[in-house]
Amino acid sequence: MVEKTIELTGISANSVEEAVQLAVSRAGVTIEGIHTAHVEDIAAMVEANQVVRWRVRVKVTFQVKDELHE
Amino acid sequence: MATKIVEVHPGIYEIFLPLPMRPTIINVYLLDCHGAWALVDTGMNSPESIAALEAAMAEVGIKIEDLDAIIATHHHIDHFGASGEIRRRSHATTHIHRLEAERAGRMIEFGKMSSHDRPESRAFFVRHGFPIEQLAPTGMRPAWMGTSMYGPVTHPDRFIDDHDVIKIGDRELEVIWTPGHSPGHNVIYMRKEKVMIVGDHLLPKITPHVGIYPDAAGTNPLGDFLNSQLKVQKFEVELVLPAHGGVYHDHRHRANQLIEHHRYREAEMLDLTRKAPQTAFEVAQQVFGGEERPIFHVMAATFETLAHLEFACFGGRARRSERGERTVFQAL
Repeated sequence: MVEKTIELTGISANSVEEAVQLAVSRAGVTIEGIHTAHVEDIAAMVEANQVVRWRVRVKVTFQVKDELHE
Repeated sequence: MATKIVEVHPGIYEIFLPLPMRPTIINVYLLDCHGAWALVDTGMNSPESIAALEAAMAEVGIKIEDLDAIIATHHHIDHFGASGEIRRRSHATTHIHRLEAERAGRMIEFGKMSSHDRPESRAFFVRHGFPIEQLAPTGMRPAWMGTSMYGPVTHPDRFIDDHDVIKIGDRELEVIWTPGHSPGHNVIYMRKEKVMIVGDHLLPKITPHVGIYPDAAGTNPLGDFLNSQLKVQKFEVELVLPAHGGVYHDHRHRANQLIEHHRYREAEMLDLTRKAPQTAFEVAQQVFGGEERPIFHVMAATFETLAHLEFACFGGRARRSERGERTVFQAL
């Protein structure tokens, strides 16, 4: 079995969890079989002394599926 | 001019017609019904497109005048714009959904008006936060509007609807109503051949635009679109013929991708409204980008965002309220 890992950054105005979920949801549009999202980095974006966005860098891993040519 | 026609299935021809906007090509489908000829979608009524259609048809030894039937997936200019001219020349029986024929007629009427003639439309833009007073009204109209490039049949010979079967020659064309991209959009299914002509419903690469416009306030076109994605999956299909992009095979896989795409988009939009309610325009600026873009694109982004926010309200995942004269949305 071989797995593939890609790096994405999810951005949420609400929470770290939602930032991760958005990254995974977007990846899931075109990738099947995602099983892990490893959080690599979290940054809070600040404007006027307020946290306005969470930027979360994740590594998303999924199993590589080969298609047989019939 | 290079002729662009490909036989994608015995007697089913894909013809590539030029468009002066993106996407730059529309695929229309010519069907040899053995004793009769049918055309699904027409391209727009430009000299280049008509010439390309004539050249392509000549490759299989026929002329526009030989067509027996025109069938439209929907009323948009690239799909139905040349239907008037083609019917004039061929006297082909023209088929389209009633809702689409009405919209074709309305587009013709709008083409004769300026935005100042439609105060209810302006009020709709303002309500959803679109800065219409700061933008040139001319930019709101596509260049073709009010020109002969949009020459649709507004009084078709036959209205088509869900489950209808159009019998032409030896072919049976089943009509599957797939509202969403437009309210009377249909795909055409050939059960025996396991071929589906999908119009703009199931494009292989781009996601079809689904928006709420001033004439459709209170509707839920994204809910309709997603239901239509589930609906087409019930049919056995081996060859998918889209209006833009290459032919492909797995319509269920693509339908599921489109469902997942809109699920993600909604999550992205609701996230932005969780702390404070926002107008559709404000959300669209963040999701689709606020940089300099053609006004027409900004408008489409705003009304596609509105379709998502209304869909979320219908599903109990968001609520709408008033902020002055604006409608704002907030995730629940």
